Amino acid sequence: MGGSSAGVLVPSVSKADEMGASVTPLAVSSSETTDVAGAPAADGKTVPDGSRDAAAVEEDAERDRDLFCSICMGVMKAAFLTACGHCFCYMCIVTHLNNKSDCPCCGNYLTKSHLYPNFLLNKLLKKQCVHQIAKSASPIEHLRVALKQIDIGCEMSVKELDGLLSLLSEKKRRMEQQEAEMNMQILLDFLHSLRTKNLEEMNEVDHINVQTDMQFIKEDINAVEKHRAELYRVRERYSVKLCMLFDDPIPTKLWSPTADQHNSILVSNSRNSRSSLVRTGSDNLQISSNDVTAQLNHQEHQRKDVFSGSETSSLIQSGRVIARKRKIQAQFKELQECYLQKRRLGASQLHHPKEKVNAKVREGYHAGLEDFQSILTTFTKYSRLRVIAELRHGDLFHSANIVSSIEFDRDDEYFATAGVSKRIKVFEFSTVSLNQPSEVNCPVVELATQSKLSCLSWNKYSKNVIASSDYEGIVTVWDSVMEYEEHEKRAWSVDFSRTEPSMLVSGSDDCKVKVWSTKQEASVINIDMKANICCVQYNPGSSVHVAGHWKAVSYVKFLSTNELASASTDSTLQLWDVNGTCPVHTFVGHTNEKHFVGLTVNNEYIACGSETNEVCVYHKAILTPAARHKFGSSDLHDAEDDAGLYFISAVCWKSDSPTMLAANSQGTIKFSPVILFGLQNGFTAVDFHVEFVTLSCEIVACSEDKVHDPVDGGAPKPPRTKASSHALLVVKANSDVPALGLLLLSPSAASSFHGHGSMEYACKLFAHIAMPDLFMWNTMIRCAARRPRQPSLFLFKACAKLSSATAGALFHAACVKLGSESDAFLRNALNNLHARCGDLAIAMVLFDGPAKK
Amino acid sequence: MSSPSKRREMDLMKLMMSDYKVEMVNDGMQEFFVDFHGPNESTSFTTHESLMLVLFRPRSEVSWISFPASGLYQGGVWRVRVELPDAYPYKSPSIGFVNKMYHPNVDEMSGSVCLDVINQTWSPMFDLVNVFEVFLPQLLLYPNPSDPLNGEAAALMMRDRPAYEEKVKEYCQKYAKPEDIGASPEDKLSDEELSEDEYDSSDEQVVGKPDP
Repeated sequence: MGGSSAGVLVPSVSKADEMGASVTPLAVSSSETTDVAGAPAADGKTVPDGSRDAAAVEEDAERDRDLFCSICMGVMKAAFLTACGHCFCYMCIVTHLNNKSDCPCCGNYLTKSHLYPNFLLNKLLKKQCVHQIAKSASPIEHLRVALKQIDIGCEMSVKELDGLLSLLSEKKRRMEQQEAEMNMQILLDFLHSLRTKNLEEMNEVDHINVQTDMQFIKEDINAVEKHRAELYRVRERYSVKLCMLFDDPIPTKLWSPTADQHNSILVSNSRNSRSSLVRTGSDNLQISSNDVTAQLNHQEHQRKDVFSGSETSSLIQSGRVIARKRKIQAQFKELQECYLQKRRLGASQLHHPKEKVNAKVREGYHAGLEDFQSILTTFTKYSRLRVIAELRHGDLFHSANIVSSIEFDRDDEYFATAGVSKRIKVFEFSTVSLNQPSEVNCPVVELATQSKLSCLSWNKYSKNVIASSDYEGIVTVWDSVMEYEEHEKRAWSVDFSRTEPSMLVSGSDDCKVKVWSTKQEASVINIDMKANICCVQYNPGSSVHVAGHWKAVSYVKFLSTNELASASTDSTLQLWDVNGTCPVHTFVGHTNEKHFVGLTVNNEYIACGSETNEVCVYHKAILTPAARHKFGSSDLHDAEDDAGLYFISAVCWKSDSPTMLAANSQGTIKFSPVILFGLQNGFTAVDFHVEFVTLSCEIVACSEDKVHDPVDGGAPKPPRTKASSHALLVVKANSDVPALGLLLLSPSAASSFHGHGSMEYACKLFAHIAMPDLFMWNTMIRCAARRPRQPSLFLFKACAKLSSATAGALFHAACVKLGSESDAFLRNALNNLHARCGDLAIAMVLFDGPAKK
Repeated sequence: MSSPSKRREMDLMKLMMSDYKVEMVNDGMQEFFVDFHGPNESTSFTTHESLMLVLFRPRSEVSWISFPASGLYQGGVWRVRVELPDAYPYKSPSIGFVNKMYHPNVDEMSGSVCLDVINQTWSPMFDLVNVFEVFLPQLLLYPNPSDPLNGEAAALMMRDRPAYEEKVKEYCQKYAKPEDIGASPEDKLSDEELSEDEYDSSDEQVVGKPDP
């Protein structure tokens, strides 16, 4: 025991071999208990912050290792004890005993009849597991777990919950307030420094432009100050309220008539005591600007900041402010341009409609300024990229390993990588992001493919479907295992539609864009282009817009329904408006001449790789990189000689969060095919886009007239038109046209749609429809009646989720009529449904039913 | 049991992290080559006490008799072919030397190894690092002439120890030079490189194609 706890502290190397040592279950369990009890208390106090984390992590790893099964080298699952006293996972030892009849540890004779469950160890393992989660999870996870426990176990009164809610909302409000104040301060700061700069310029050249600009700035400064003052007023009001809330109830009563007075005393006190502190803090800030009056103003606000907030929080905040200001200084020029452009635009718009001017003036804010503020905020929010975790993709196992595509799934829980290693690997995000660099990362799922992969796309609706395109031109949909072999050359890109889950599109070197449906083997639509297609993307807002690119453009991504970003091999990114024909912005700052370097977009940010082995992040309104991060090379000698050889091969944002994945081509470029691109061709992205839109309009038109036929009873149609009309229907159904939703359901329900597997699809669709009415339910029931058990099970689950008791009851009736009530699975589902919807009596009857029989 | 492929991957990763040069033959992680350095006397044993307990456990037949062969094989580098069966941790990996080796328990032609711990007495607790850090060094340091695969070597070892040692050293010099490793062995590898080259050129062809 003493030996094992000493081993915990030493970063031992030979531990891997010691694993072979027979660890008796008793020793394991006792070391476990002491560790759990002792460790958190010990490292919490004594060790300083930075090293504490590392030490704790190491300790955890060690403790985990003690609980490893020596066969699978993972944490034991269902621990079983052998007659000779060794512990293994049940499955591991049983598999071994199928091969041989001895103990893997000591070689003693052993059969399956000599295995006994180890309850104590199992219990401890479970505890350890929870402990682990508790340690690694984010606060949100904690809260969720806690809430779940409340759900299951103890009752919580409404009052308690109310308290919790108000606490949370208070916290939220405070954070919002802080955020708003910070934003204001930064904006103001920016405006002031802009003014000083323009003042200087005015002295040199008397330009009319500068004068109008000055006018803008002056206006804006006034407006911002006014807003700020308002914000502070709000805050003061709140702080007064808080004073009253948090003080003892009896004194509050005494104070309440004189609360204002008291508060003012309090305020003046704190102002005196803290003014020195403020001065030192703001000294740092003063260096940047020259305008004395602005500074005075500024200092005043700083002071206000400090006295009303708590001391520490405002200090942290001012630290953040400084960082942000530094960033503004660094890219002042771009920001200035952006600001002036927005402002001039806003002004010219404002001059024409007179009544609008009035409205704006009353509010004191210009549209341009508002825009700019949001840009400034988001731009300065993140200043650098920090590596959270590193994942060594197959690079150790495969000679060629360039990752060509990384994608997150629908819920951001898993991500998949694909590349020239001929393998799709799915990783769990939470485990990867927590592990230490030395740890082995094992993919959750691994799919081997025939040839090298170029692109991946998760289905945005059902979680277990991934599409991949490969160098042979084959587009594969996994899990339904459909293969589409129509492209004659390398397929570069594939994308699932966001709104219509069964449609996907692919682009290839053979100059064709093909639209596929997961329900049929031949392509639905085929578009011939004049040049090679490198990338295709569905427009997130509709299912019929697809953007493609010609050769020199390597990536396109939609930022929103009408903004489009594209990456090209001339080292630039461009932002397009889908309605216009020329780029809105051009971003420069990374290097990209021949490789696919990856492109990914967030709401505000665009990120791409660079051939200098860096990742660059751009804000969509600022033309130079907002942040960049250089990939460190793992081997020293590699870093010396060929740093330029590596490039980033894929990047991906975690949706709506500031987390990004990036992969590089480290160490393997020698083996991988280098793809060269020419820079010619007069075809622009937007041209193609426009063309495609018209094309899709045609498709719409041709399928529209078919839609009006009664789909379910009507004569069978060629699958192609049906598929496309179906696609359209889904889009429209989602955009709340209920009647169309009905039409949509009925063909699937009557199973006349594609023959096989459509029932599940219908169910999914059904679960998606916001307000199912009686007729829809009937359709579903009718189709459920035609098929045996599973679909109706699905329906019950959907009902339970929507907690619509009446619909469930209807369903139940249908089941009784069909005589399938006695089925155990169904009964379970029904039970669940009734229990959820509150019909406990029925649930009880159902539950008791089988007992009587 | 977690998936066998995970264990496989972990073992390989561990092997690579212990600074062994590993070269994959295919993508399947089924088959690969490892460069193995001949042991000097001081390797293994002491550091692997716990494992030795397992190795010398009562029921297993100990295959080596103490004939301290000193660092006969020291300085040589062999390429070792490892094949992991589908049931890997449960079934033993098959191990073979690619370069020629003069050893009573190693077949001179095929390079296959006779060692009970990687055949009959294999246990799923062993991993590849064990094989390369303990089993093989053990085998080289303590040959077992009573159960030979290379009868000639065994006989020579029993009869004329100095001649045997001379021969071992000669073989080391001839076939196990560190600078040769990777260059000479098997056509498979060069084949693959060739195909890789072909691929490259076809790529360029595609790329070089004029745009319509």
